[in-house]
Amino acid sequence: MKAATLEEFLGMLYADSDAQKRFRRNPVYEAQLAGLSAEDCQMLLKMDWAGFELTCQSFERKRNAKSSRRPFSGFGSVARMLRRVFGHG
Amino acid sequence: MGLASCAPVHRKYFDRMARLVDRIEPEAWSEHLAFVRVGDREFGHLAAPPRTLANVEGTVANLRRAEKIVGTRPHVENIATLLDPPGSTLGESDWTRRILDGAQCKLLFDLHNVFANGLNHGYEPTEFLRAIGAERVRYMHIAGGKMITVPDGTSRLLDDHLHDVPDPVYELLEEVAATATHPLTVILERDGDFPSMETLLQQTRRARSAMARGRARNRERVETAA
Repeated sequence: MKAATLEEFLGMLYADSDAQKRFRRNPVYEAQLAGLSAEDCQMLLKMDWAGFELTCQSFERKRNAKSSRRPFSGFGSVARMLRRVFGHG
Repeated sequence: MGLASCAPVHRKYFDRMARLVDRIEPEAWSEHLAFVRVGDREFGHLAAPPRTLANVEGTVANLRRAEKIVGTRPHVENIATLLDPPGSTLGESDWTRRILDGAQCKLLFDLHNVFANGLNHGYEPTEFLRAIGAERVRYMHIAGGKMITVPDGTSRLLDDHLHDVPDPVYELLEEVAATATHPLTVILERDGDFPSMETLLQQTRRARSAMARGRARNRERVETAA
C-alpha cells in the first residue's frame, strides 16, 4: 500500500467518521498503519485536538445536512444514468 | 473544487466552471484556498491543508490548470479554519503569498476569516495584510460569527455568517483601503438569521464609511510624501 501523505491522512479523517473514531482510540497506530513518517506522527500528536474535534463535527453536520436535502437522490442518480446512456438532457 | 491540494483537481470541476463562465460571462470568478476531498470522498466543507511547500506547488499547478481550462484566472479566497493544520511548515500569510505569486492570482480577501483565524490561532490580521500586500487584494468579504466554548474550556470564533459584522472587521477594511490605491469591491455575506433590511443596509453604510476613511488616509499619505 502506498504511504499516505499527511494531507491525505487528514483528509481521510475528515471524510470518514469511522476512521476518526479509530484514530481517536489509537492515533499513532492508525497514522503508522497509513504509512505516515515518524515525524508526521509526532506532528499529529501535537495538534490542537479541540480544534480537530470541532472541525470533524462541523464537517459531519454539513455532510448530513447535504444528504438530508437530497431525499430523492436515488431517483436522481437513476435519471442521470439514463441520460448518460440515452444521451438526452 | 479543492484547489489547495497536492492532488490534482479532477478535470470535470474545471469543465463545469468553464461552462458556467462561458454562459454568464462574469467580471471574475473565485475559489477558496481549501481542500475538500480525498479521492472521491467529500468532507462536506472547506478544510485547510497542511501548509507546506509541496502543497504550494500542487495548489499553483491546480490554479494554472484552472486558468487554462476556464480561460481566466480565479481570484482565490482565504478560509477560516478551527484547526491550525498539523504538519504545516509555512505560516498562513507566507503560504498564501507564495500561492498568489506562483499562480499570479489576486486575492478575494475574507476579512472575517482572517479575523477569526487571527483570534483562534494567535496572530494579528494586520500582519497578514502586510505580508500579503494590499495590492494583491481585489475583492473583500465581510461577515460575522460567534464565540463558542469547546470542551477543553477555551473559546473559538466560529465564522458562521449568521451574525452582524464585528467592529474589528470594519477596522481591517479601513486598513486595506488605506494602503490599496486600486478599485476594491466589498461584499457583505449573510447566510441566515437575517436581520431587517435596514440593519443590512446599515452594515453596508458602515463598510462604505470605513472605505472612505481608509481612502482619505491613503490620499493624505500620498500628499505628504509628495
